[in-house]
Amino acid sequence: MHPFSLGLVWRFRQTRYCRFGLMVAAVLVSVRAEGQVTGQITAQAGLGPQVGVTGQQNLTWGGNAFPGVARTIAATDPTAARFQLTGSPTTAEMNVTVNPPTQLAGPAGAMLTIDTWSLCVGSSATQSACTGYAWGSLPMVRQLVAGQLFLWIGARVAPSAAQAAGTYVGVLEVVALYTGN
Amino acid sequence: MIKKLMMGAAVLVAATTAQAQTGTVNVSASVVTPITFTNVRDLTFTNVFPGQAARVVAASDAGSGGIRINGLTNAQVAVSAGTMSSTLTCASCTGTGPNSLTLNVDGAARINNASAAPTGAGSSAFTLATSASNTNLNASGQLWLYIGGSVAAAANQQAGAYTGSISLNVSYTGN
Amino acid sequence: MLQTRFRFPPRTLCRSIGRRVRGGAAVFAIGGLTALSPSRGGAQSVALAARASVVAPLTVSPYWSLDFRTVTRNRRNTVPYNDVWSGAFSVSGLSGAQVAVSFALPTTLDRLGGGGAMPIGLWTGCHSATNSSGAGCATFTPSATAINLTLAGGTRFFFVGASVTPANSLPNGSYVGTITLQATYTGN
Repeated sequence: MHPFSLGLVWRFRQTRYCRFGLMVAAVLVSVRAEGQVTGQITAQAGLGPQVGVTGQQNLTWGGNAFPGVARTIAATDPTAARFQLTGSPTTAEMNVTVNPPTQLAGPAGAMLTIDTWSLCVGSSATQSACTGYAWGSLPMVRQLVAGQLFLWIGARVAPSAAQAAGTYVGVLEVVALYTGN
Repeated sequence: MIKKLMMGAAVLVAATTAQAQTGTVNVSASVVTPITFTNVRDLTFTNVFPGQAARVVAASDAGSGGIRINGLTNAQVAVSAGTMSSTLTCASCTGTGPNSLTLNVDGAARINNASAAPTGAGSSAFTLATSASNTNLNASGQLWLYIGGSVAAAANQQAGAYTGSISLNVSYTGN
Repeated sequence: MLQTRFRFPPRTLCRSIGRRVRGGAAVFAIGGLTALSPSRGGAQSVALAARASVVAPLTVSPYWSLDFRTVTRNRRNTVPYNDVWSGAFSVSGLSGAQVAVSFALPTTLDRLGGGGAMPIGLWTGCHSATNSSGAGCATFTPSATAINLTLAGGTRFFFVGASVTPANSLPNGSYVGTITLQATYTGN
């Protein structure tokens, strides 16, 4: 078997209200009977406190993943991804969305499926103190604790027996939006 | 008595010969040249935009269809269209919208008895309809006919090349 | 068209027939032919070919949202059309075709969850054959009135900027609105 390495690179939204439009604005294109074609984008602005999201650790599978052997990193594992949310006021309420990849891209167009995501949320950088949050319940609305919040994220990869050897990468995105509360 | 009998017999013979008489005449017919057609150009609609008002090509436009009628010198002909609308279809288009177009033929056609041109010297207006209109071939037995029309593409019309035809009927009137 | 001409027997034959039948009836065969009228059903038909090329419809695609980020109350907050945070669309269609482009613009950005409306206006814009709002991008004012332009190369990018002026009384929160670009072939 040929081992290959995996890396999951985080991408964070440093802007306060992120490119909200890209996430939410539907790619809405319609054609009317008279032949007019339309498209839409979103305009957005934020009032009040600021929020920041920082990716602090990549999600990796610590060593090699083997063809034909599925491997899961739990949100509580040391190689899980980690994000820090900061903002003001210190108890500002955040609407948190996670945009995970469905596949990691590898050599010569090879793709590796990634699934079974998990999330653990905590108020400090101590991972063992985090509390699991049901992935299917996202987006998550949660207040900052003392002005911050930590997210740990895990997933599963299942390389096929014929999976090509090499490095497979993807982007995991967390978007935090101040709800105004 | 014998003389009388002989005379009667002679008459009888004469009568029989008269009933056997037949006469013949020759019959011949001279048929003039049949009507034929020479294609000049297709009726062409370029860049039809979907969902727009109908694209119109007049008989005098460069995209009009043209045909030359050939026949007997100076003969009168009756010209008509089979129908004043036909369907253009696209064989290679893909998509979910319609892949046929209705072509409406313009009754305001043009003819030319001098040269291959819908306008200029020798040209005139001609009414094209399903009922025939008469006109004359020229001294060379030729006449050019130009036809326009219109098509309208739906907003979701499949894009591509559509083809079809207009049916024309031409006959001698005998004049 | 047919023409039939008939020819009588020679005169010498007529005279001989007459002698032989003296006292009887002379019988001549005379054809009652007349010129046939031409067949009215003998029309020649031809199919004149017709062709039409239908072009593909226009497509309008979102490119970037217009993002004011965090704004300040009681003052005009502006994102110029050539700012990195300006909004953008792309329009694609038949290369070289003329298109009419207009916009449906919001008058306010509305607070998520309700409770406030932030006025937006002073729209600015430019359009370009490339995805850059820098030099060479032709300025225009986005509005419901259409502008005509040519799709040189088949694609055109549109960049949009504006200003928001939040009142002092507006509550904190996220304010959003929708900008719609409308495009039509003019037929030219």
